[in-house]
Amino acid sequence: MPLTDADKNHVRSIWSKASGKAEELGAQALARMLEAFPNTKTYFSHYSDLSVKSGQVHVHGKKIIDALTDAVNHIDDITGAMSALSTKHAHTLRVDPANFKTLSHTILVVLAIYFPADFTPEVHLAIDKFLAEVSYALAEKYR
Amino acid sequence: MVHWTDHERHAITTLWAKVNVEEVGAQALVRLLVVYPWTQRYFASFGNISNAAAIAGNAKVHAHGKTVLKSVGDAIAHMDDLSHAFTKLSKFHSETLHVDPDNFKHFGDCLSIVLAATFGTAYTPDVHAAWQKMIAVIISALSKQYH
Repeated sequence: MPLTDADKNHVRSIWSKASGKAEELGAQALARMLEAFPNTKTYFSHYSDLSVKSGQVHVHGKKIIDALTDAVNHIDDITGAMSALSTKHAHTLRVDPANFKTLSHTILVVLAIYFPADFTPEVHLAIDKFLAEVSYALAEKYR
Repeated sequence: MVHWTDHERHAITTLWAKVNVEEVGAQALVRLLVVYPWTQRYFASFGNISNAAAIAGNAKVHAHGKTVLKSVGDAIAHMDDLSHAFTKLSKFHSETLHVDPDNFKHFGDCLSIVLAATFGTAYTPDVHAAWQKMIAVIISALSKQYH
């Protein structure tokens, strides 16, 4: 289900607002994933605080959003942009790829909270497709 | 039987009291049909649902969204014994409507997103988590009679 030109424009448009709030959005998405989907906590047993107030969650959340910004900036070659991160997830982090969908969902929820007017059904569709592509690229090196 | 904490019950019922069933239902169903277009297979009788604008303006989509959200309200009213309370509805989805239960998850995701868009930061992480649990329980109950 490749991204159409319209999809890419929708993604760029909402992401131009999201990228400026990377830390806040990232912390919210990550904290919500950890709270609503407790199986994901197993990857963060080394964090002392998993709440949205946690410094560790803020730092990591920002990293995630910044990586997605990179993918947006290379939207015509997401596989290439995600290559190093794919290697890291495959060999070092070994996160079950099913969880990519879970985090994608909480990212969508956070976009809806922060940009309700911009997050129209068409933009929702475009970002959902984009995150699916990123997830696929992230899992490429797994096996 | 699902175990609900007092906090979860409170989070779910308090937010529900503020939900405009017609509005939220319509928006959730519109998003389902736009974001997961294969779900349109279940709504051939709804007339023009050929693009996002048509879906958003379709009166039957709006009416059905309200019907679905009303059932969510019923679910909340029976949250302590939902598998039993939803036996008939589950059979109906399986034997009459022939809906693939994977689609329940897609609708649940859209509902969570519409609640987020509607309530903004009031849809706090803990309220959000309680609602994801409610949605999961509804999906489980609705899926139970499939065989």
